[in-house]
Amino acid sequence: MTFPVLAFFARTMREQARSWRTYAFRGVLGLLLWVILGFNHAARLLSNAPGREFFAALVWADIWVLGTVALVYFATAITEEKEEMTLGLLKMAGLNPLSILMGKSTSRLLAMGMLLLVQLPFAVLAVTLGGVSIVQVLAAYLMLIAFAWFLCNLALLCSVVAQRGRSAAALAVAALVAFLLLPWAVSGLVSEFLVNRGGWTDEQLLIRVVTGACESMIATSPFTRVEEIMRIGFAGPVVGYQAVASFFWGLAFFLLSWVLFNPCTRRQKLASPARGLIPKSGILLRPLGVGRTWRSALAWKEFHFMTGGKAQIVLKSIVFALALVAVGALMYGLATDFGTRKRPPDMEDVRQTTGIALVVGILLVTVIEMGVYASRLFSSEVKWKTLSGVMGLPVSVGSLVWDKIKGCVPTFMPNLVLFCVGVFLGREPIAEFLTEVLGEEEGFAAFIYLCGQFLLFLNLTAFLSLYVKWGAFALAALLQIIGQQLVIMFLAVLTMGSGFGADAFIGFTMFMTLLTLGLAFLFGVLTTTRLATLAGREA
Amino acid sequence: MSMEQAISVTGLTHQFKRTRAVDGMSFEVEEGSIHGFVGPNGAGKTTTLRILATLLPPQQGNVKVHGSDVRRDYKRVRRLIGYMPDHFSMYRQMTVFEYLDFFGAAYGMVPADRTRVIEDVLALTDMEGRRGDLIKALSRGMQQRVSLARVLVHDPRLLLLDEPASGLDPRARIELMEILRELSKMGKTIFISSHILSELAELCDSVTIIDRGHVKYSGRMRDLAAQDSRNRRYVLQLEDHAAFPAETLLREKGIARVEPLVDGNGVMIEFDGEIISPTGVLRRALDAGAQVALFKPDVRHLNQAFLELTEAGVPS
Repeated sequence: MTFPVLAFFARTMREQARSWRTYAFRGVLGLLLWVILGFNHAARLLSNAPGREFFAALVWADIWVLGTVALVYFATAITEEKEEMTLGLLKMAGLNPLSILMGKSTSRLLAMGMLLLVQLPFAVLAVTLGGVSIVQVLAAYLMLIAFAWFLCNLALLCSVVAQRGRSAAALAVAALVAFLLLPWAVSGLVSEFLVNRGGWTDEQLLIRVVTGACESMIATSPFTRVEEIMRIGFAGPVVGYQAVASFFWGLAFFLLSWVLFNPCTRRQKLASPARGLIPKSGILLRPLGVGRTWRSALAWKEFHFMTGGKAQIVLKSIVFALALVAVGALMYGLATDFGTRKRPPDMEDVRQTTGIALVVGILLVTVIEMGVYASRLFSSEVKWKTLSGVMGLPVSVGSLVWDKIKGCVPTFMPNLVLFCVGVFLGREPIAEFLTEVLGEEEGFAAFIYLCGQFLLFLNLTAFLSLYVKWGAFALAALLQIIGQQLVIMFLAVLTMGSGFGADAFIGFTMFMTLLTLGLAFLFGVLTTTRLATLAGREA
Repeated sequence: MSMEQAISVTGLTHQFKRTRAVDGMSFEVEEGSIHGFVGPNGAGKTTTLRILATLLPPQQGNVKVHGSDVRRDYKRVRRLIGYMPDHFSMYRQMTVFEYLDFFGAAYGMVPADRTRVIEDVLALTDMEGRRGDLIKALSRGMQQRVSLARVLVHDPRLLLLDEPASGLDPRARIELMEILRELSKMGKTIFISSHILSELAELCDSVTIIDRGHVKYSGRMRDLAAQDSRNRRYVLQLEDHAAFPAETLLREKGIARVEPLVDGNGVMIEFDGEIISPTGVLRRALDAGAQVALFKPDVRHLNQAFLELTEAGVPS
């Protein structure tokens, strides 16, 4: 007989075991590993330690999957019950917070653990390929499982605290980034401003506590542990500090989730889309309102109700202006060693580095922003069951999609302005870079290929968002990274021993660009087909 | 002169994986009528409505709306229809006005026309006072009114309503039916689905009853009673039941049975199958000193007819 506390957990596990998706997903993962392994084996002549390279790629891919897709998956454990308004029913059925937490989160953790374990036989093959020992393999998988446990419980806490899956996922990502980066930043600041300049010593209690805590958190990071494990001649221990610390951190998050469960889930609110910053009325705020619907009604809707409209543009402009000042100040500070250097800084240099930083930063922000919009453009209609209303309009699916995309364009105006400012400030090095890269045929071909890849990324994200509830963006990024790895390996195998001339490189790149554009087009078509199917099924 | 068919369905079949939701269905709906589309849960009502709304392509058969094929002329059909699904399909973060304005613009209307039409549909649905309210702040009944207002914005000739009264309280149901009557007077054809026949009995001119993807009856509502295997029944409600000797009615030729009503305020009269005039029965009751409050056909027979036409159990 099952203990009452485990009843829900056992039911979830049974459901997972019966679902064909579980096995299909593991099968696909196994197949992918097999392909990577095959390529690696074929390219073994190019490397002294092909096994080590294969294994390192595998471990980094796992960390990426855990930190993105799995984190979002874990973060929706409780919020999905909140959104479906079923949490009250579970409580009424006599399930206590502990059984709900275990049923919803531990089952997901086990599913993810199984995905890691299914790789183990392939990973052990890396030992045969050479460059890595069995101790390293076992230590790495233990590190991954400990990281998964840490993430699962961190995300569970966010899922308990947040009301909606989106906010829980955002909170979990922010918490993870903070956990990974904050110790570095804090220890750096303490050492620079308190110890080096402030007259404090390393022996003082506050400094010892702060630096000790930071060092402990840095040692809990999977990145630190991967570095250790991948060192040549690593001989253990298999269970590192990271695994032990992650276990205790995870346990603390779980206990906190348990304590906060009832206070945070007492009130249930019917899920409905947020209006964001858009004012409903008021004379002062009217300029930021939605006004009358444009002739392109869908574009109007997406601009105001998905991207946040004029209020969002204003907010972004303020944030970008502050970023411009902050980046400029940072570059000036770096040029003057934060006021310690005696001679005046080279202002030309400050201007140029500020420009380059702005261009790189805004490109990164824009790529992420576009990916987020691509993942929400259609999935929000599915989520809020409004797809049949939109698909029933007297227009083709193609023009409907196009109108939706048009609605997202105005929100990138601040990005464009900041990009132009960045280009203006860093005009000399940027022009030099572009001449160098785009002036060469190979560079130009690679640039076109990159643009094609970005288009594919957006189409793939939109397509995946119609199949998965959360994490389409991260999943698309992961698939593309794997795809890129395969292309690079394929290229390595193709050129093995014979070299690769410029003409052959351009030919290959153009072929890959066409293939990428073809795939982007295919995913676009599949997205429209899927939209039509979902509209017919909406209930 | 024959009226134009608002809907013409011939041999319609649609299958989901191994389940045949609609199986060779054929029926027609006259323009300007209120047509009930009735069937138990899982009978294929929603699938048929989604095909009529061009959201699902018919796998077999012909489906025409005002002469236009739903597959080939889908853009024209979408202009002719206003489809209200069985779930709340609304942008709940918008205000009522923003929502209606959005759909007006999506159907290509200019701002001035939209303003006029929105005022009209808000007046019709009695929602003028709530135009600035967020949809998510409205009650379910009000959201249903906004939903109805939305399908009226582009002035469609045919309204496809999938269980519009589901989940509404009795008052909201009655008000919804009143609005539908108003719309019918305005010349709209209304195709309304429900799984409760008696709910539509007083509203609809005609009805199609389906079960497990098959049409069991399609025709005038009043003719459905004639198909009833039992004898016709009438309800006679009285001001003072005690003062009326009901047994005197049994002497009337063609009356088989007279039974007191459950609530005790009248009698149920069952005819014996002969064609006799109900007016004669009423006259006889008045002559016998009855103080008649109401005399009408027994609506329960529609439910009985529905039960006879449809099978028990859940479709597999």
